[in-house]
Amino acid sequence: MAGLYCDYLDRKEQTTSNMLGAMLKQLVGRGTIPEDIRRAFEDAKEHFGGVGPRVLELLRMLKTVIAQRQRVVICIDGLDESLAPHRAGLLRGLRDIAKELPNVWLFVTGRPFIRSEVESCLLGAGTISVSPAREDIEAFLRMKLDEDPEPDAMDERLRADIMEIIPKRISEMYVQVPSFPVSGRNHVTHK
Amino acid sequence: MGGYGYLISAAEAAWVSWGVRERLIWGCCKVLACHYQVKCGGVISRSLKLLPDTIFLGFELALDRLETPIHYLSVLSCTPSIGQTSDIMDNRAIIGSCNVNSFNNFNNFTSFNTTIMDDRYQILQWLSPLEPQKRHQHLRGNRLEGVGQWIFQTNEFKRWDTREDGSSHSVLFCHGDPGVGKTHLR
Repeated sequence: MAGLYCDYLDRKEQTTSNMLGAMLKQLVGRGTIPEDIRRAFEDAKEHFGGVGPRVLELLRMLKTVIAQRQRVVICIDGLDESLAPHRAGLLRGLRDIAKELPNVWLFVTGRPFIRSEVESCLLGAGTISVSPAREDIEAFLRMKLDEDPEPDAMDERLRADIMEIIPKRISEMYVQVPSFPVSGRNHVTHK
Repeated sequence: MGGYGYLISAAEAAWVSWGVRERLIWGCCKVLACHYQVKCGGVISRSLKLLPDTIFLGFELALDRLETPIHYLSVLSCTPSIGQTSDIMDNRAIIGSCNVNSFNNFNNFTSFNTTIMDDRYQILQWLSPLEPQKRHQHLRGNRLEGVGQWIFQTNEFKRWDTREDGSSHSVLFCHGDPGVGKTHLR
């Protein structure tokens, strides 16, 4: 399992190579570092003043590491928050990985405006539209009410009102999403 | 051998006044000492049991949270900096009077390990300066139990997870507006 969280606040650091490197880092971080990675590091230190690995080099190392595993899940959260050129590079890299390695599962989240970008690069991607699930809102409210620093100000009626009105209001904010039988709020499409 | 006994009693006496950093360093020492005990005939392992578990627990938590234990191991090379308070300075004096040979052996052992560990840390940093594991630990720690479970029930997730229709379906894209809970999907 390798994960990546894209963040507006860290856009400059989130280059294609740093993002691919972060995945590789997680995959090799807990075991023995493969000899080819160690060698590439020594080479870079000796000949290139310690400059970071290039995208192609990272992709090659990443594919080698993944190929040795039974199943690798790569999760990327908030892909839309990375800068467009870096994102395009990352998507191309992921496309190559997914095409060449059958043991990779890619899970990506992002705002709707990058959907076409993702779908045109990663052909055949399944999509899920995410909206707040009613049971998740209720669980969150229950937690907040339990943590109430002034429990004396609460009574059963107020509690019932909060539990009814807030989930309803939030649901109304997302009425464009047709209901899903399990959660009642999540719509699934398959392309 | 007796040197380790003093070292450990000194640490036990002082650990309450230590800061997190000192405890972590001691945690590292303890782990390395456990490895070393093979060469010392088990004396250390008995003494180590006397140490408050809190130190070890703190160390393990830090390993989990920070994911950069290597950094802390590298601090071992400057163990004398443990002495930042007067209490600890006193204990350093006790440590200083330990059996010199044992203590030197211990130092040799730790510096040997530190070299390997530092190399590893450098390689990982060279691969990428990003630390997504830290964010993951933070989110995991703050996530409400059960939130985002609904996704497992969707046909799309099941299809992606089981690859029912072949390798063409290796990608799943979850889209939604800011704040709808994409980050907290399980």
